[in-house]
Amino acid sequence: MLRTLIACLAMMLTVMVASARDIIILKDGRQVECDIVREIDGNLWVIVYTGDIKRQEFFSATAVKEVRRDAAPDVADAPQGEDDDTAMASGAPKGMVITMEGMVGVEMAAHKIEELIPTIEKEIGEGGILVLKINSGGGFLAEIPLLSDVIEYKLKPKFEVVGWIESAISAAAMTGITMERLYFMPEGNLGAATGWSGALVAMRGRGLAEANYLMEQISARGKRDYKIMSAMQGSPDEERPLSCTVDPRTGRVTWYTSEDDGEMLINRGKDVLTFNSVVAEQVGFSEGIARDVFELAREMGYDEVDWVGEWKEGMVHPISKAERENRRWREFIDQNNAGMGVAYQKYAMYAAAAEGQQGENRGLLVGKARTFLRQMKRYADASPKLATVAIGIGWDQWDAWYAGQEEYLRELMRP
Amino acid sequence: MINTLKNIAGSLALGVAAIAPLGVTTVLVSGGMVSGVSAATVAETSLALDQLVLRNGKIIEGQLIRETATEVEFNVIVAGISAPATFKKSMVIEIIRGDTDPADLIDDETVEDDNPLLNGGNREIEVDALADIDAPKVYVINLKGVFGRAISPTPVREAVQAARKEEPDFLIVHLDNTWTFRGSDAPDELQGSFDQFTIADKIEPIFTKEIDLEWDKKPHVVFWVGNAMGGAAFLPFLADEVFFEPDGRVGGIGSLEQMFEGVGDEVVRQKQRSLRLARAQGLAIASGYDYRLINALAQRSYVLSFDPNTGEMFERMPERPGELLLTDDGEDDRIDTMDQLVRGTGNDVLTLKADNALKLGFSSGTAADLDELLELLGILRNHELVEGRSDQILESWSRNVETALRSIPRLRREFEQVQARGNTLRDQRRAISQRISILEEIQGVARRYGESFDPNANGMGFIANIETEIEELRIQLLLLRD
Repeated sequence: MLRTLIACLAMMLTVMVASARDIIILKDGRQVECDIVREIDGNLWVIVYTGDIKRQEFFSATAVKEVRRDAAPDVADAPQGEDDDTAMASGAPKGMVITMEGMVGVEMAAHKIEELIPTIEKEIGEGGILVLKINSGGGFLAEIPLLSDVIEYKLKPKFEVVGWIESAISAAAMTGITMERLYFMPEGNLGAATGWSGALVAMRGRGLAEANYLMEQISARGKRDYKIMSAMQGSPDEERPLSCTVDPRTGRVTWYTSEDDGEMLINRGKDVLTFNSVVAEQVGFSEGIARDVFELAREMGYDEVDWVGEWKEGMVHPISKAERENRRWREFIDQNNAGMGVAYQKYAMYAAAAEGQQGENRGLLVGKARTFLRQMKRYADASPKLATVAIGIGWDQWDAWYAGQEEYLRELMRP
Repeated sequence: MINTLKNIAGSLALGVAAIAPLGVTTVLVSGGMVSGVSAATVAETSLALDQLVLRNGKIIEGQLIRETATEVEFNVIVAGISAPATFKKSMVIEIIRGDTDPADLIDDETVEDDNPLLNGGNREIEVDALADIDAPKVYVINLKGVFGRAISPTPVREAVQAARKEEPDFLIVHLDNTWTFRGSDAPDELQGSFDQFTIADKIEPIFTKEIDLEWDKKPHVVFWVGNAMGGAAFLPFLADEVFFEPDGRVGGIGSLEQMFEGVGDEVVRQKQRSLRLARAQGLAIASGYDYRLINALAQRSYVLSFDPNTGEMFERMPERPGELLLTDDGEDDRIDTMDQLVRGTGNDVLTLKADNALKLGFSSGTAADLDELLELLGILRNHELVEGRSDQILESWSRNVETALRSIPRLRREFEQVQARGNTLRDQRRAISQRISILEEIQGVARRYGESFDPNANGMGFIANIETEIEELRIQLLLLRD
């Protein structure tokens, strides 16, 4: 699916659609036919079309070679004219922050983001600014393509999507680069995307090759040179140095997989790359640094954004309805996570104790063990990957494991 | 939330001092040269001033004097009085130009001929005459003892909360953690403590986000450094401004490249080091400090030199006359000699001391005692020292942790000694219940003070193990039936 959709993306950027619209000629040679809906200091916000699918895109001034305004934008198709409820209709666009936190695949899960879309749309309208604020130390590799797909095909077509990075490590970094436009918090960091397991054992072989291929595809979605993510992934078999040269005139960055060819050494060959906020901005990996939504709006080029939601003490952004739902769900999963660990421990203790007893005592202990086993099932039903996180059982093996334990308890009760 | 100097400052002294952390120029405020400047002048003129938006969130108002590739010279104007200061360009996010001639900013009738604003020099501005301005409140917190045990997130948070009640203008944190080796003060080269960053990381929001976002009146946070060694080395990077004691030092965290040595694959070890370094760098960046200092403090292989005239740093050995080496790569003949280590002059990793920290602009000055510090802050003769419960909270925590550490073995002994008084089921049940009760008491101690004797896991592993023991006793109780 990913490959097909990447192909669609490439088509979208290169193929001229039939109707006459604005044409942007990029410095890398591509031409994009679109409607320009906003322009600040040469930075362009546009609607591009592929058949019936339309999506909002952003092109920085440094990437644009020429703009041909051959035809006036089709006002009927532009977001502000489409629907009175849209964000663009009332002057300042509406925006919201959705936080993506916790373990990728557990608290930071694609299905939850997808579930939030109707609420998000109701609150900020189509074309509104959706900020995905990431603070995660990583997680499951398997969740990355799911999250990337939701961002690419469910969120980007509806909203102006940007990433706001507090900390995006490993799988969170690999997800975050789906977005073309990233902003960092001052303390922000992104990288360290090396796959590993157990006692710091590196991913190798087919698994590593698949991860590399996935990252090539997701880098393309975010319009980023794969050399960057490659340096973040590292390899057990080879060094992955990275340097770059920033053209002072155009701002264009050229990347090199060596320490010396670029003017700036970004990653020594023996190291694994993690960007901090300063370097990310210097090399154009991020669009800017913002500590709150007001700075973020300014960095994005807006004079004003109508940030929806309720402000609370200690927050750098308001909490919208969608974000409130998001947080409630995450708290529920956190509680389940803790509960799963405790329930498993108690289940194991009571089951083991039952083995050493006979008769009524055994029945008593098996009954208690069964209670804890059913608690575990409720937790696993709410979030299947908890079984892996909390007790180390592969989520795809949970059903079999659970059935086996039920049978084991029945066996204990047989005379 | 962005605080302007106007919001922060209750007085000229406070306002001027607040610019110092990033400035090369230290501005003293101490005597009576400028007089009669009315508060109304501020209100009338502040809207038209140039603004300097700093990376640490502050907005400084005044007039831009000069902008070079590396520095911004700026006349800071507070309460109608100006003081020139120099800011590193790297610390400045944006310069917003106003439209006012600086001469318009001064009330002509009240300005004397030698007013520093009109003369434009880096003159001392004297403040005694500003009798109508309230003296700034100064609150001091002493962070002493072993980092991670006495200096731990819970007591530090409670100490800072106690300070909040006093609404200080200056929050001075005197950091002097215990750093000993075999019973005496440990040498600089003791470098095994980068992993204590996890503790500093938990303390970080207390001095940054919680003050920035939750306090109605944000104080100017000053760290005054005696020993900031091991994990404590990260804390001064949270300050608005840092001062050193004459023998003050920041370091002891040069072990990053040795972390996880001997475990797993090198590329995964590098990943772990990389993400930790980036988090530590972020802590410095968020407060407006150069993250390369963190690299030099943490990594033996990192090379950093600087030009003391410009404060500019270079990630290479010195190349031009006048440049000074801060840290070399510690390889071959550059490895620190025993003589250098004994004298504390090694440079395989960086230890910031009063002199080099001052040259680098990391420190704003060196003060042997509180009076000297207040003088450097420009408020020696115009301040109110307010006292709260902070030191009491911290001392009490230290004492309680020591007591808790002694109480756990005692409770364990009591647990072992519990015997059933007779052979009846009731006697046995009572004995088991007594054991459970003791274990729950141990758990309670661990819940309250676990962060100090198991800093990385907040005592959670210890608590979980006790929980297992309790559950085993509950099973025994369940099976004790007539």
